[in-house]
Amino acid sequence: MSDAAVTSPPAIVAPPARPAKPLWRPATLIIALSALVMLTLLAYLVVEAGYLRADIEALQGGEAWRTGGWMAQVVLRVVSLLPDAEWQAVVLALMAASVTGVMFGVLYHRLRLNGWTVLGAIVIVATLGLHAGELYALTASSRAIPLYIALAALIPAIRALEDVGDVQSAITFGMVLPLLLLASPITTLLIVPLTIAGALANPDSWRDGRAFVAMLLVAILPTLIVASGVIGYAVQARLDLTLILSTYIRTYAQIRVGDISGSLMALLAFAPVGLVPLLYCVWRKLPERRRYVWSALAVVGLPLYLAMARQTFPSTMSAIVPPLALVTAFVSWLSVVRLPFALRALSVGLMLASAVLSWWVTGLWDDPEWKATLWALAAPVMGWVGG
Amino acid sequence: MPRVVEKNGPIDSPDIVGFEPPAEPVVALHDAVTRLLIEKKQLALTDLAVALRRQHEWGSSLARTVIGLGFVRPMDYYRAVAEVYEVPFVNLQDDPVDATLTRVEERSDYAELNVLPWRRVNGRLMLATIEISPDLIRWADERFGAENYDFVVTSPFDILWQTSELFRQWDSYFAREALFAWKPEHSAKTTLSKSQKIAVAVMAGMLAMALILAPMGTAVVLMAVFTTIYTITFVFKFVLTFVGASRKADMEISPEAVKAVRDADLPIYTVLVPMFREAKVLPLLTRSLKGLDYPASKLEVKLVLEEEDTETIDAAKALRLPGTFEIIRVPKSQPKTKPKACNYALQFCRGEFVTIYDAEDQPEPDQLKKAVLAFRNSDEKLACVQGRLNYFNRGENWLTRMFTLEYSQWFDFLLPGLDWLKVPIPLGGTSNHFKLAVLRKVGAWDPYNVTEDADLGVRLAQEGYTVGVINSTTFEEANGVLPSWIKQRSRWIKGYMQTWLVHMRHPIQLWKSIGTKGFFAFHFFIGAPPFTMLLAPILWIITLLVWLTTTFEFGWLFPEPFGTMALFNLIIGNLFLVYFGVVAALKRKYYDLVPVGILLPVYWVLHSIAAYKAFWQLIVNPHYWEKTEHGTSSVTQKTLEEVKATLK
Repeated sequence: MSDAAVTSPPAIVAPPARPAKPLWRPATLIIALSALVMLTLLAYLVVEAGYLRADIEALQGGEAWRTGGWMAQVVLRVVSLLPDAEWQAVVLALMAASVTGVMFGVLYHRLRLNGWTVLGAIVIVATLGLHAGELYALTASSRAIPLYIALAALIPAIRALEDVGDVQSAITFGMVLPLLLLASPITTLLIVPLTIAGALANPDSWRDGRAFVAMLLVAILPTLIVASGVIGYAVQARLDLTLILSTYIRTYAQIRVGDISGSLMALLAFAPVGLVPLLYCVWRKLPERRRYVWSALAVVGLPLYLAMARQTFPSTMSAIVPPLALVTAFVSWLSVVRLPFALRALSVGLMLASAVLSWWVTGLWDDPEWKATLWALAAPVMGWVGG
Repeated sequence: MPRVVEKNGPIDSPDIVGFEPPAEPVVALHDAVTRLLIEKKQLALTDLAVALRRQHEWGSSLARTVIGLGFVRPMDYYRAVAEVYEVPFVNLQDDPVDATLTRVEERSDYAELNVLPWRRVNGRLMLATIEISPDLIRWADERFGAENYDFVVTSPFDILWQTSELFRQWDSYFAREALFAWKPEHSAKTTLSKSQKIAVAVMAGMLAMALILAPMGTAVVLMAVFTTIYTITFVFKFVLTFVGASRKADMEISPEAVKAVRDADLPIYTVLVPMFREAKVLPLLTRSLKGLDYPASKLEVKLVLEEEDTETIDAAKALRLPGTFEIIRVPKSQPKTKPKACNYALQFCRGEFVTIYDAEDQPEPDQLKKAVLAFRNSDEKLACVQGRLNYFNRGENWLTRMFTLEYSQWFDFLLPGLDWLKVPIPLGGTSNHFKLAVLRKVGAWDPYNVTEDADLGVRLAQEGYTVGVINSTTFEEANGVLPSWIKQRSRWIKGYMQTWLVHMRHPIQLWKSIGTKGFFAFHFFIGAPPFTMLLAPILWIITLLVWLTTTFEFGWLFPEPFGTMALFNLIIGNLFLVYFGVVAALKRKYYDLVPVGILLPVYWVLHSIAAYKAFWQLIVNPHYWEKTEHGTSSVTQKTLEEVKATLK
C-alpha cells in the first residue's frame, strides 16, 4: 500500500567510471610471453655459464649479512629449500625471467592506458629489454635487483600520494619504504626524509600536529615491522645481531668525500632519459589534471642520491647501478604519467639512445665473459636466421 | 455498498493555500476531514497550509502528512474521518473485535488494507477500517457480498493494536519458527546437525587416537594447520584492508545526488527500533529519528518493545511521540532475542524498505535517502545496503578508543573490501537497510542466531542477492565498560560460531551457492576469526615459554616451512595486523587514535577472553542473548540532558 510508488529512478549516484581495459589483452600477453621466452633463453645460457651460481654462492657465503641486502637473502632462503645448487640457479633464473616478463607486459599495458601508441609502447618495452645494463643486471648482477624493485615501486607510490591521496596510497607508500631497508644500507638512509615527506603530503599535517604524527607513524611503521622481522629471522637463524648492526655502522661511520663527477657522468651517458621528468616539471601544457612534480623529481633525485652515496659511503654498489636505477625509475614513472606527444617522442628517442649507449660505452660494466656467453647464443640464432 | 462512500464527492480545498482541489474521492475525503478539523479548531489554518505544501512536495496523502507533521492526533483525525463518512467511530481498545469473525489466513490482507471484521450488528457485518478505498470495497465485496457489510472507522493504531492482540500466538510462533519450518538447515535452533555431531565425534576420536599413538607427529600436524590458517587469515585481512582503503571501494553517493531526489518519488520507509529496558535513552532516539531527512508522512517508525517491559512502554507513551511512531509489543516467549522481536514486528511493516536502528543510534540525516538511491541505481539483486557504524564517544576511555578503531576498520575497510570482492558480507547489527519483500522472501532473521545480522548476510548471498555498503554513518555508543564489553563481544563471537556451523551443514551446497571466492571469504572472515581467538592464548603461552625459559625447545614443533611461517605470523603478521588497525583511523581523520592503536594487542587479549566465554556458552546456552546495556557513556548522559532540556 505504498502511497507513493517511484515511477522513475531518481538522478545519478556518481558519474560512472570509465571501464578499465582488461590487463590481459592479447597484445599485453604477447609482449609478456615474448619477454619471458627471450629472458628464459638468456637465463639458460647464463646458468650454464655459472653466473647465477656465483651469485648464490656469494649470498650463501653471507654476503647479504655483510652488505645488508636482506631482500636478496629472503629470496635466497626460499630458493635454498631446493636441495641442488644447479636447481637453485635454474629456479632463480626462471623466477627473474618470469617476473620481468610479467612486468614488461604490465608496462606495455600501462603505457597504452596512458595514451601511448602501440608502436611507441613496443619501442619503450623493446629498448628496455635490449638495454645492456638491464640485461646484465638481470642475468649476471642480480644482487642489485632489490634496489631496482624498490625504486620502481616507490615512484608510483609517490605519484599516488600526490594524485589520489586516499588511505590506500598512504598504506602503499608506507609498505614500499621497507623495500629501501631491504635493498641496502645506503638506501635505508632515504627512509627518513621520505617518511617526513610522506607525512607532509597529507594537507592535514600542516594544520594539525596530531595528523602529522599519525601520518608519520603510518609511513614508518611498516619499515619498523620489517626491521623487526629481519631481527626475528636473524635470531631464529642464531645469528649475531651485532653482525647486522655492524653493516650499518660500517656504512655510516666511514663517510668520505669521493669524486662524484664520474658517477654523474655515468648517469648522463647511460641514462639521458632523466631529462624527460625534468622537462615535465616545467612543460607548459600537460594532458593531466595538474602537475605532479614530486614523483617526477624523485625519478631523477633518487638515482642522483645513489650516484653520490656510492662515492660517500663504503659500498659494494657497482658504477652501473645508479644509471640503471634511473632507467628503471623512469620507466616506472612512464607507467603512471600521461605525457604530451613531444615528451613521449623524446622519451622514445632517449630510451633508444640509452640502449645504444649501453652497448657502446661499456666501461661501467664491461664483462667479456658475459658478452661471450651472449654472443654464443646470438651467433647460432643469427646464423639460423641468415640461413 | 455503504451509501456514505457514494455520497462523498470532491470538496474544495481552502483557497488560501493556492492548490487546485483534487478530484479523486479519497483525496477529497481528506480535504473534507481537514476542513472539519479546522472548524473544530483541532487543526490550525496555518498548519494546514504547511501540510498542503508538504503533501505536494512529499506526494503523500493529506492524512499521513498532517499526522506525520504532528499537527493533529491520529485519534482526532480518524474521528473526523468517521464524521465525514457519517459512520460510527470505534475505539477498538474499548470495543474490541469479535475474534470469531477473523481468519488467520487473511492476516496479511488486514495489515495491507488496514481493516478488520469488527462485529455483527443487526445481522450485518461491520468492518473497522481507517479509510474506505476502492481496493477495500473490492476485497470486502468478494468476501462478504456487496450488500452484506458496512463500515465503521477506527484509527491505524487501533487496527495495529487489535491485529497484534488477535494474532498474538500466531505472530509470535511465526517470528520464532518461520525460518526453522521453511529451511531448518538454515536455522541455528539446533547448534549442530546430526551429521555434524557425528563428524565432530569422529574427528575428536581420531585426534585422541593420533595423540596417543603419535603425540609429537600429531602436534606437528596440528601446528602446521594452525600456522597455515593464521597465515591465510592474515593475508586475507591484508587484502581486504588494502582494497577497502581505496576510495574506489566506497559506494559514494554524493550530496548533490541526495539533493536531487524528489520527496514525492520516495517510498514509505519502515524503521524498526528493537529495545529492551532502555527507557532512559528514548529521548535520544526520538531526536535522532526526527532529524532524519525523510518526509515524515513516509516514515513508519516502530518501537519494538517486549510486552513485559512496561517501563519502556510507559516512557514511550509519555513522550507523546508523533503519529509516525508506533509501539509494537512483543509477546513473551523464548528465545528472547532481538531477531525474534524484529521478525514479530516485520509482520506489521508496510514500507518498501525497512531498516533497524538501536535505541542510542544517531544516523546521519541523509541515510535513508542514500539507501533509496543505492537501491534505485543498483541491479535488482541488491537486497540490502549496510550503513557504516561508528562511535560518538570514542575518546571516553581506552576501551572506547580501541572499539572505535576496530569498528572503523570493520565498516570503513573490511566491509567495503568484501563488497569490492563481491563476496558475502556479514551485516552489522544496525543500519542495515532491506528491501522488505526480499527480506520476507528469505525468511527474515534467524531468531535463534545471536548474530542474526551476519547470518542474514550469508543467507542473502546464498539466495543470489547482494549487499552493498553506503557512505552514510550511524554513530552509536561504544561500550566502554569492560564486563559489558565482554558480554557483548562473547555474544558476537558465539554468533559467528553459530553462523559458521549452520552454513557448514551442507558445505558443497554452500560452495555452489556463493562460489569459490565467497566460500573462501566465508571461512576466513566468519569461521577463522573465532577459531584464531581461541587458539591465540595457546600460541602466546608457547611463545612466552620459548622466550622466557631456555629449557623448552619447541623447534621440533615447527618444521620448515612452517617454522618460517610461524615466525612470520608472530612478528610480521601480528605487527601488520596492528598496522591495519592503526590506519583504520585515517578515513575518518581520527588522528588521535593512531598512536593509541599500538596497544591493539592488549585488546586482542580481551577478544580471546570473550571467545572462551562464547565457546562455553555455545555449548551450554547457545541461544542466550547477552544484552548490551546502552546509555552508560558520559557523552550519552550529557546529550540526554540536553535533549531533556529542549523537551522542557
